[in-house]
Amino acid sequence: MNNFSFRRMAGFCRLQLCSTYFSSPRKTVPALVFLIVFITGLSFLADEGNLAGMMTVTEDLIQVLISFVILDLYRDLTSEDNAINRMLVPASPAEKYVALYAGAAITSAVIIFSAAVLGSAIFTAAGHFLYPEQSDSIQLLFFRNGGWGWNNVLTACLLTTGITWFVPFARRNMGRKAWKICAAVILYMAVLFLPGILKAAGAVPAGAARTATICIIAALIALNVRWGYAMLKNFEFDRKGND
Amino acid sequence: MIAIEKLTFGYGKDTPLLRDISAELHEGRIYGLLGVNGSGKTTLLKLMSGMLFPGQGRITADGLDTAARDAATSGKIFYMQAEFKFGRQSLEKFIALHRAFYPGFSDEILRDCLEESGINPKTGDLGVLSTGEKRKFLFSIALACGAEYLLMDEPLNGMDIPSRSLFRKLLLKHLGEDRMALISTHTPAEMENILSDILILDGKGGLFAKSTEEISDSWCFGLSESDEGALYSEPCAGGYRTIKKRGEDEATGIDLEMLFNATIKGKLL
Repeated sequence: MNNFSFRRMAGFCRLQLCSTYFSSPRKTVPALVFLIVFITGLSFLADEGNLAGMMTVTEDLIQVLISFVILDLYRDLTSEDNAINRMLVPASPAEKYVALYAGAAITSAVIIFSAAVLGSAIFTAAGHFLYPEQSDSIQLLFFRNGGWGWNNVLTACLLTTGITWFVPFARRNMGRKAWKICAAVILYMAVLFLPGILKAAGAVPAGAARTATICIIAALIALNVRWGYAMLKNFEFDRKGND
Repeated sequence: MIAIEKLTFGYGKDTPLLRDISAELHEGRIYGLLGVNGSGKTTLLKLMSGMLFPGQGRITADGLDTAARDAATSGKIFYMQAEFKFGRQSLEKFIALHRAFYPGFSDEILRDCLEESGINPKTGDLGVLSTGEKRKFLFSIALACGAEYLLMDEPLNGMDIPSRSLFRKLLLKHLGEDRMALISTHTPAEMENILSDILILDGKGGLFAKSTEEISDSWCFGLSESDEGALYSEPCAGGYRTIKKRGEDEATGIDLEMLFNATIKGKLL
C-alpha cells in the first residue's frame, strides 16, 4: 500500500471536516455569521471613525480566527475521545498531516469568503450611512488593495504551521519541563525579530532587514512543517489513566 | 499474526508496567486479556494498536511494526476503546465517512449486526444512543470493517444481559478463521465459553499466555475436601476450590477466576 495516496488524504480531510465544522450546517452557518458580525462590531469599537482602520482590524481578527481553525483540527486529530480515533483511521501520518493543512485551508477559505461578503456588506453600509465623507463606494474586505498581501499570507502560514509543532511540544513539556516551552518561544521570537532588532539598532538598512525577515519566515515555515510532521509521527496517546 | 517481542514499557522511571513480555496472537483465535486494575491491559492494547511506543522490544502485525502507523498496518487493526464519543452525526453519514478507509468493509455484516442489535440504520444522531447501543454500534463496525485484528477494551461495559449474549453470538458468527479478537475484560466468566486463549497480566510486569487446550492439558480445576497437593486453593463452602496438576483422564473445565487468582499470586509460573 502506498504511503501517500491523494484519495485517502482527501477522504481523511472530508472525514475531519464533515465530523467537525460541517456536521451540522444549521449550527455552523449561524455561528459563522455571528462571529463575523461580532468581529466587525469589535473593530468599530477598536478604531471608531476610521473606516480603513476598522477594516484592517477586522482583517487581522479574522486572521487570528483562522489560525484557531488548525488548532481545532489538530485537537480533533489527536483526541482520544472519537469512537474511531482519527489517529487509528487507516491512513498514513503523511496523509493525515497534509489533510490537516488541506482542511485548514478549506475552512479558512470559507471563513475569508464569508467575511469578505458579509463584512464588506457591513462596511459598505457603514461607509454609505455613517461615514459618507470617507467613502460611499463598495468596501471589499481582504480585496481592497488587490488582495491579501504577502505579509498576511506569510503570517498566516507561519502561525498555522507553527501550531502543528508548538501544541504537541507544549503538551509534552507541560509541568516540570515548562522552561523548555519558554526557551523555545524566546529563541523562536529572537530569530524571527532579529532583522527588525538590528534595523532598530541601525546595524542594517531597512531593505536588507525586510529581505532577511522574509527569508527567516520562509525558513521557519519550512522548519515548522518538518517539526510538525515529526511531532505527529511521534504522537502517543495520553500516558495517564491507562488500566 | 500479531507478535509481541520482548516488550518492555513503563510510564516513568519507576518499575516498568510491562517487563520483557512476548506472545504471538494468531488469526482464528479469540483471546481474553485479564489483569488487575492498573496491570497494563489498556496500555497493552494501545501498544498493539500503535498508539503508544514500546520502551524496548517491538510489536508487529504480519511483520509490520504497528508503531509505524502506516495505512497498511492501521487497516489490519481495529481498536475499540473503553470510553469513546460519537459526535452529532447520523449513522449513515458516520459509515459513509469511514468505510472508504476499510477496503474489506462488509455491508452485509453491518446490516446483520445492526438488525440483531435492534439499532435503526436510519438513526439521525448517534449522540442520542444509549451507552450500550453505542457499544453495539461500534462493535458492529469492528466486525464489518474487515480488519484482521480486533482489539476490544472492556466491550461489555454498559451492555445489558441480552446484549452480552448477542455480543458473543455475533463475534463467533462473523469473526472467521482469518481474523483475531483480543478482548480485555474484568468479567471473564461471561467470556469463558468463547475464549480460545487466555492472557493474564500479573501486575508485576509479566504475562501469562496459554491456550485453553494447554491449560486443560496442564491443570485440573475442582472442589476438594482438602487442599493437599493443590498448586493453588481457595476455601469455599464444604472444602476448597483447587487447581492441581492434571493427571491422566482428569480433564475438567477451566475456572477462569481461579486461574486468574492463581496466576497473579504466582502459583502457576
